[in-house]
Amino acid sequence: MRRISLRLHGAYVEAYLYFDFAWLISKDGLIRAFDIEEYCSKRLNGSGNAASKLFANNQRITPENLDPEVNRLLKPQSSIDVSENDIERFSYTFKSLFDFKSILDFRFYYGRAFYSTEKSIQQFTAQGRDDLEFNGIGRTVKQPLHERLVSDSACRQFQCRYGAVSAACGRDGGLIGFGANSDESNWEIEFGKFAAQSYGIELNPDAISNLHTPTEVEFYRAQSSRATADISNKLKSEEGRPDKLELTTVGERSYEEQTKLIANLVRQVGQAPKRIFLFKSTLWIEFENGTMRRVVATEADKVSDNPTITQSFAAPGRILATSLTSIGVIAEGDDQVFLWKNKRWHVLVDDQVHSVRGYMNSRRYRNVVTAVRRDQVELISLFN
Amino acid sequence: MNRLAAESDGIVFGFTSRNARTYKSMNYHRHKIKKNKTLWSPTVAVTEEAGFFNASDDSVWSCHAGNHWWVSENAVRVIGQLGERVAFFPRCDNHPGPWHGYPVSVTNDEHYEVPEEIISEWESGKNPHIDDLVAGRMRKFKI
Repeated sequence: MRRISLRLHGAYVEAYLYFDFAWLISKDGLIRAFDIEEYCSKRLNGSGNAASKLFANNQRITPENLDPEVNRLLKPQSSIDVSENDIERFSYTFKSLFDFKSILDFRFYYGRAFYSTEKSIQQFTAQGRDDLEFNGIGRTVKQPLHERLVSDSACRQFQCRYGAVSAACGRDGGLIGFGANSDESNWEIEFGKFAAQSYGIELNPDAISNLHTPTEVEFYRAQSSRATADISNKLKSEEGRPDKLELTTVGERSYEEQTKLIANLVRQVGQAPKRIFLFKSTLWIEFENGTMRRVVATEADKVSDNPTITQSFAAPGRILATSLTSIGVIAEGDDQVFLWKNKRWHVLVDDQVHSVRGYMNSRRYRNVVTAVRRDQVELISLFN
Repeated sequence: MNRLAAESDGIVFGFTSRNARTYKSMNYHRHKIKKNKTLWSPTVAVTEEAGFFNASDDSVWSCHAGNHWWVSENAVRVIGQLGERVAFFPRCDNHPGPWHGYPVSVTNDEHYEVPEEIISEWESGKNPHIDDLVAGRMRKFKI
């Protein structure tokens, strides 16, 4: 595995890559949209074009045939440092309307951003370079963010798929809002509660899986229909292949038989489960004895009548959160971040992080991982 | 705190500096005796366990429900056998006690969310006990 990091220096608490920017949130409530491509082209001289491919638009890379300049940059432990001054110089800056102590999660989907503080969930409009302009003196915006409060619950984890946005809000429950692929400029999410409590949610066309407790998974019957929204090329670059289906309703708890089968598989392991992490087609289970197993719980996007469990493998230590990239699964540990690839855990970041995430569904940032450390945001571009 | 007595189910210490409370290190949180009881890490001495309670009592790290909480500076210390870094001391209405406590993590048991008033207390002041990264992890139910 080869890698290179772009290190954005400064104290940020969250970051997300969307449209042309690294969206950076700092504790003072400022939201910066850092123009990655512009920085690469103006600051990195001969390497600008290759760096831009690695960090600003992976669509311009052919993984099986990397060009020489990209190859040259992908040296072991290589990095490019971006100073705080350059971040200011190449960023558009907005002020959040909402005070917070912590940002719990941050997600962009179909041109809108959702972020949660310890008190509430907010939505704002994502902007691309076309919506913003550099006038020679400073950077200005043509449109405001249209930031607004959309829920009084605090969300620990968003999931966005099939035109829906879900929010796992602990004892406040599991929330979901439909129609998030709408192209109406004033569309605002309307969350409804479907689960009494929630520590993680995953979305499939016929079922929504929910962690009722950190070790207890339940399924809710859902319905979906053919997606009708016609999305722009600009959005296609971000959302990858648009979903052909969109979720329309969620019902009561269901799939009792499949739930029992999964519980039996776990019981047969003979170890106490410590934590479950939900993915689209699998559940990753961390056991108290420090091992993990995967349960394959869906088949062709549907809840499987015949779930299976894999052999055990060692956990990299206590896992706090997981995320997915095209290269493998990312696990945030207490003191390091790991990547599961080729049946091995690799240390991706040797530091504690506010957050770490991959961009599995993005075309533009498919190979990039963002890790928000205390003194920098690290954009890690990964290639086999 | 001083060791006061060794009883059949644990060792009693006393007295906390602020409220003159007693504390009992329970055997079932030191050894696998009962199911569903979290265990202190072997690296935490029994006297340290009592010291955590004394520090919590002294700093008034008590939540609205009257329970006491403890974490090391920036949560660097692992205190439980499942990697827990936070200690919980359930409210005890008997004075002087004994109180008791055990390591907890909301990642394994959702009943142990660190309350916002405790996180805010640890995060505040000129010399915060935890920084914004650790406070954020607590609010995200990561530790």
